[in-house]
Amino acid sequence: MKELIDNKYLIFILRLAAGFFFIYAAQSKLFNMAGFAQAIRAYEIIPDSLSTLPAIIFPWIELYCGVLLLVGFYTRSSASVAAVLMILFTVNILIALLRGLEIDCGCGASISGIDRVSWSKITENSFIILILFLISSRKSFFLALENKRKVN
Amino acid sequence: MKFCKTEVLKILGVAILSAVLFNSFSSQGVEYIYSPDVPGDKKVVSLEEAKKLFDEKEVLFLDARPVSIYKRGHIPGAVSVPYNAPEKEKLMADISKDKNLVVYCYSQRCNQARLLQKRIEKLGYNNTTLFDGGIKEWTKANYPMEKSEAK
Repeated sequence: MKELIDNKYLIFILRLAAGFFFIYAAQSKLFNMAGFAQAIRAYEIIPDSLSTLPAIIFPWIELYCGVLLLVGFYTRSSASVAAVLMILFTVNILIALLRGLEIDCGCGASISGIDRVSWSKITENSFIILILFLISSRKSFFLALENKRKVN
Repeated sequence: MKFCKTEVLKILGVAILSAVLFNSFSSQGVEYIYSPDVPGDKKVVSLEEAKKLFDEKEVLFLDARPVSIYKRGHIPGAVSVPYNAPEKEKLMADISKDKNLVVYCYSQRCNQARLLQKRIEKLGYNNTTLFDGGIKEWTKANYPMEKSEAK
């Protein structure tokens, strides 16, 4: 198992997959910020008046994390930021589920095709968080732009 | 989890700067502090008014939520017309354009009913009313519910 986790090619594939996932999630929110803000309001966690702020900022954090993961620059840091963001989303989904809300999750991207607040969404997010933790725990990366910076 | 504080701050800084610029110049931009549109009162009903309309049986309730949620429980007699259904004309083929309709979704914050109301008005259904308390208020008041297959 340890050998599999240490496999640089596997980490490379996971890094690309996570990168594409975050870019895809970001672009769908960037071009529908009002919709994303609406989805945030539906969670009934932060005051309505503040709902647009995360809708404006979060997609850009996702986009930069996605691009950085893809090209392999600031890789560990971008994986960590993305993981924190995913944990935040997942906790919100969990709170909504426990409160019995039947709402769209506003996730922007989905592996399973589920876009509602659900236990499968939490499982899916946990899987992505695990991948991000795995990436952020690595010291070096295969085919990463930051390797060039270290050489120079 | 290992990360460099400076790198994290750079990522967040550039992201926030891009977000503010994009929001200021994009046609998709939204207001920084959200203030909800107050819907015209003639097209919104409260829980009590919705119950009165339900008891009088003069109106038809439209459920704007996804079909799977509708099946789990809805206002008795309500027709499922998900707000994002592509062929609303087909779903509403049996409903007269003069019929008084009451649309609802989960709660005041779900927006699906408001979207459905706008969309069906474009199809010529002009006698629509929004019950914005939705299923949340309806079930809280212990009013009757029905579980069934989507109509």
